[in-house]
Amino acid sequence: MANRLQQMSLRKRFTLAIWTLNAVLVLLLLAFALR
Amino acid sequence: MKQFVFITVYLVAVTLPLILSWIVGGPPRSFWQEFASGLGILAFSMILIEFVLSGRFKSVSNGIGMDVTMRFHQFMARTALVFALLHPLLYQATPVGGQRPWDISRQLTITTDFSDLVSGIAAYLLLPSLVLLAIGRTQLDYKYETWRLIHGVGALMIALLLLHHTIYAGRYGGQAVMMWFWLAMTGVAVGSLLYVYLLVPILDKARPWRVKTITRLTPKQWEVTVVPDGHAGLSYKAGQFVWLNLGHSSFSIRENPFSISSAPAAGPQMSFMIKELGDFTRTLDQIKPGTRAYLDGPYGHLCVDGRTEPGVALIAGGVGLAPLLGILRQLRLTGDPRAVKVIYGNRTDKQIAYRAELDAEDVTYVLSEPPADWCGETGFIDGPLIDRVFPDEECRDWIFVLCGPAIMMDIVEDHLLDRGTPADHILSERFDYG
Repeated sequence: MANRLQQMSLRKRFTLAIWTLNAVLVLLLLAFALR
Repeated sequence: MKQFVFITVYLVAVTLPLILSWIVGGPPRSFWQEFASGLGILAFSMILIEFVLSGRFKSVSNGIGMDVTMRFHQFMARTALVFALLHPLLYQATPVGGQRPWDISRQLTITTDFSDLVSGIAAYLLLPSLVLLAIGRTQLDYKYETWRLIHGVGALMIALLLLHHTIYAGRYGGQAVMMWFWLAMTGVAVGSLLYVYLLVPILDKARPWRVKTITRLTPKQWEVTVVPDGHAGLSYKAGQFVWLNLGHSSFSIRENPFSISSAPAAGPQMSFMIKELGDFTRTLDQIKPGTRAYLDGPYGHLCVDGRTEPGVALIAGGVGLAPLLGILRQLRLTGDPRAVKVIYGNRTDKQIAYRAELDAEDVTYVLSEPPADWCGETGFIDGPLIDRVFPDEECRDWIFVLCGPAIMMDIVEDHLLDRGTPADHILSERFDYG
């Protein structure tokens, strides 16, 4: 997994990072609202 | 690794107000009320952090690149916009009205006091306008300086409006701990603007430069050389860029980022290869030697200093040659033993700059619109061309430095990765952030 990430192009890593970040933010929001 | 640290620090900073609000707590409310508040909290903290992602802080973008920081700024602004737009819509079915004596801290109801909401409504209208104006900047074709001013002033207004709205209308923002936290965060955001537009110009003013020469390289490309005026110059690495202000006050927003095409080893004077593209660059022919200049920088991570690969591949499209020329010149001036190959793509042969200098190197010129008598490579810089220039062992072992149009860099990067070039052997910098 780490190797696959390291061999991704910069823009693919960027896109992955943005979507992961957005997903984490939404999950945190849900956790906040459901607490 | 640096990218992971960047994302982690961003995530912590952005979610800190949400987590603090969580800790501060209050009586339970319905899911949608909490979700709506959470959206507002996240949107505001994301907007405030956008200020320090605005491309002028080396400590923020160190290692990941100013271009990546800028694109991150753009993408997260879109997320913040979505969160902000959804925020008021999800309060449906929440009791509304003016201040109630039994709910003075707005734990269970939503205020409808106009004085509390007006700032939020104004920000609600301003934010999409700011984001849309930024996204459509190139299509709308208004002056770069005008856009910078609108963007800076608009962002500042939104931050202040949201601060008021959060403190006076927010359930969590009204509490003392959160109020001080939001004040501190807004202070950092506003401070970052003051740093860029006030402190940096004050420091730059004490270190003026003068234009030494301005030379037309090709019909639409110029070389501007500046010398330090009364100081030792700037410490930089080959391949970096600066914000260059030619002929205006150091406080002017009329400054543009340009790659340094000279080498640090050549001395304190610095050269820039500039293509006529926008409002400022179209007026280059009016700049005279002796014109005062100010430089802010250096920025950028397109550097091969300290790298251990046996060879350096410099792949440039058009004016993307500028930083690579700086690297090439530094390698030559310092007697660097590493092998170097250059690929330089242009549309026509008239656009090839520094031809005499490059002819002394292992260079491959590529033209997409070659003249009839052209004997070199034709078409675009693509995979098959990379295969013809670089054998397997060079693809595997060398460091590749790319600068040029985004499409060229995408194609070359993908091809190199397919051929087994480690991702950390590929350095690139984009100047079109769209």
